[in-house]
Amino acid sequence: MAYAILDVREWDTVVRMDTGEPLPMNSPKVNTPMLDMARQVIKGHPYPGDFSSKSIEWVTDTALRLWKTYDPHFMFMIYAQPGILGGVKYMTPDRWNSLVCRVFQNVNRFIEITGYIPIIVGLGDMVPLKEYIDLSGLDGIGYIRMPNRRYAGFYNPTDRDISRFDRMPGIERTVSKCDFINLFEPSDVFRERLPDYLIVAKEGYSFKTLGTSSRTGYKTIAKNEAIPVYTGLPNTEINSLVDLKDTVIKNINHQRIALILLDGIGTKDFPGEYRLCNNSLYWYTYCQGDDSYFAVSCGEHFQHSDYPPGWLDFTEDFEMKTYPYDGFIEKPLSGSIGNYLRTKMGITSAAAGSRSTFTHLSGGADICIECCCCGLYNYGTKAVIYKTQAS
Amino acid sequence: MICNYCEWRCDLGNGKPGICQMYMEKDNRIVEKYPNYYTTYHATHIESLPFFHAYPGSRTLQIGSRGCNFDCHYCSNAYVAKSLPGEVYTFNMTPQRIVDVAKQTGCHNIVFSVNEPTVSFPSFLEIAEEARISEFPIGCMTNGYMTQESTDILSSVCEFINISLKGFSQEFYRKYTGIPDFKPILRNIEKLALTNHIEITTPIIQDINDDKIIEIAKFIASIDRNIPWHVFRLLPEYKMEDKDYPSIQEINKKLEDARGILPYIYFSNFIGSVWVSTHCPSCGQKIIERFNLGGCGGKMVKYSLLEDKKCPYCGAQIEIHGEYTQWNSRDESYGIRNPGC
Repeated sequence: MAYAILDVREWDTVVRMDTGEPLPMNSPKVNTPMLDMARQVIKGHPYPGDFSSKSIEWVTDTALRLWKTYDPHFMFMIYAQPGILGGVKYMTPDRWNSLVCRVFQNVNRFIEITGYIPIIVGLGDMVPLKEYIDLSGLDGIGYIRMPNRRYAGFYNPTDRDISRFDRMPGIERTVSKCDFINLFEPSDVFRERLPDYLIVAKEGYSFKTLGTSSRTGYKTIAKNEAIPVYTGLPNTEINSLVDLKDTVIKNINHQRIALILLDGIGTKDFPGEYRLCNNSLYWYTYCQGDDSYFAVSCGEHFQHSDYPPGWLDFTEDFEMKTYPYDGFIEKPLSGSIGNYLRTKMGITSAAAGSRSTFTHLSGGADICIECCCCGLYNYGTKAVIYKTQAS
Repeated sequence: MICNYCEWRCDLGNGKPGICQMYMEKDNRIVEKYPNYYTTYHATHIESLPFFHAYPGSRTLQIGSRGCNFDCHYCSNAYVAKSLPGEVYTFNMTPQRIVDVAKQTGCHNIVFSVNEPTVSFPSFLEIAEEARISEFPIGCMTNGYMTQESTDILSSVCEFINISLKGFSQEFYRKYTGIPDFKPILRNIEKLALTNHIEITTPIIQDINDDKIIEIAKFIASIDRNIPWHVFRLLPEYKMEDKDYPSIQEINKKLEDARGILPYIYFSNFIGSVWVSTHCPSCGQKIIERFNLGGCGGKMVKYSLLEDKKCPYCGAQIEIHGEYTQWNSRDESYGIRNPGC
């Protein structure tokens, strides 16, 4: 059973993750050593907000606190600020460089203090936004599932819509459901949820349609066919982002490893040495949404998940949807790296990240600390505890 | 040439922009500068807006334009509400298209929110007319600072309205929202409560307007104690982004006394709030359960009222506008779920 502590500074509540039901504060389930420890960590490290200059340091400070108090064998970290702020805030090149520099300073600070062997993954560059592709005027319904703005699902298309796709300059390709299934052979649930068409934007373009944020965009995710990876592990072969999980599993018995994901940073900004790792499958390039995070964590390409890009996720947000605090996800990822290490290898893990629910969903660690932000609004800090008994 | 949509009653003669900058004089008429332009359209739970006592469980097409006739120093939506033309992307959608999107996304009603509807009033009225033809209930969220003429029109086209009562003193309204007089808002709340389903929202900025909690509760109770009151813990942004985070405990302590005045007080805008469910005013049992997943209102997770909207425990009548609606009741009819290949 997984629990979450939802912390809004001086007030908090504990909920069951599967039902969302709050637990009474005198419940024995609320007063376990693991939950007490998680509570102490978030009390000391409330998330300062996506726009705060301290949000990068927050990831490192929180991870350091987890290291001191829990001392996990595996640490999973996400620095999301370059991807988040790069998208919605105008930055001069100097400010952008300074932001990237601070991210790496903080990564290094964590590594130097703790001695974890790092695997640092830049999830991909961002490029200036050229133009929006507005789907609102078509006959059918376009939908994107944030933050993935390069792939839109399209439902109920008319013949007129299909001919108009061809004339939209920002569209790279349109793929029918059948063509997608034939090429990618997705899982049954993924197949069921696929939109009638998947529309792919060219690099520099971003969709505007049902479900998109009304904030002004400045940059968007590049078409990153390869992404940079640095690892301190010797003799490792990482050819694709789906190889990262195996790399951790093969090496974790010999050393403590920190898998560190950097949103919005690709080869253009990654300092020092790195190797290139494939970030695509056929024509699909990963976009730093759930596609990237789940592929890294589960070691499987996106079509083996249950969540296709452009899926009208809100249609399944029923009253009794399970895991209500996990957004569109209705169950934890059984293949996540943290879950694998815990259940198959008995290895302890922790996670700290500023990409909200993706931190615990992809990390799957014994204890995960993340921000509770939606639309860049700071609703609090969350600790998700998958392993409720300390060992 | 005077614009009579809101109580500013701006003179737009000789090209003057007016407070909201959304209207102009043309051929001796006041017309919208940007008719049928919207910054957002999205399908969401009606409880997330929030409406807790109207069409519970239903799916809402939320729409909004840009601009505002207030200048709230703490505004969370300033990037839309205070944006200038061209600063924020807008969709050009006809009223027919908006209703068609509501149908295709399985929505049950349409609500104008995000920003103030009176700054895009003619466009909103066109949507309302199109929605009426297609039998979609219409609602909106407003700051309530509209003229009596606009209030009458709004009352005739909207079924349900959430009015933001941001404070309870001239000083607060003058200093933090920029309007000279808040009495028209009180007048409009009293009037709309007679004709429409209304809910009231108050964003609490600690140490600035939390001293008025009891006064606001008494004012609402003087109209109708069954009006739901949504109290938001606000993280000030825009001109007040440096203000400290508010204390949930301290605000809630002040709400405790108000709960003796009004039976339906909700406290949210932070994750995990345990004050978003509805309890029967007679027997105290939880009759509609909601979670706050982060956001203004909540998500309904359990509706326990009987068909005649009575408490299943004691039989007391609970004030609910419209029927309980299953979230996905329209998906199949509009062809959203399309398993074929």
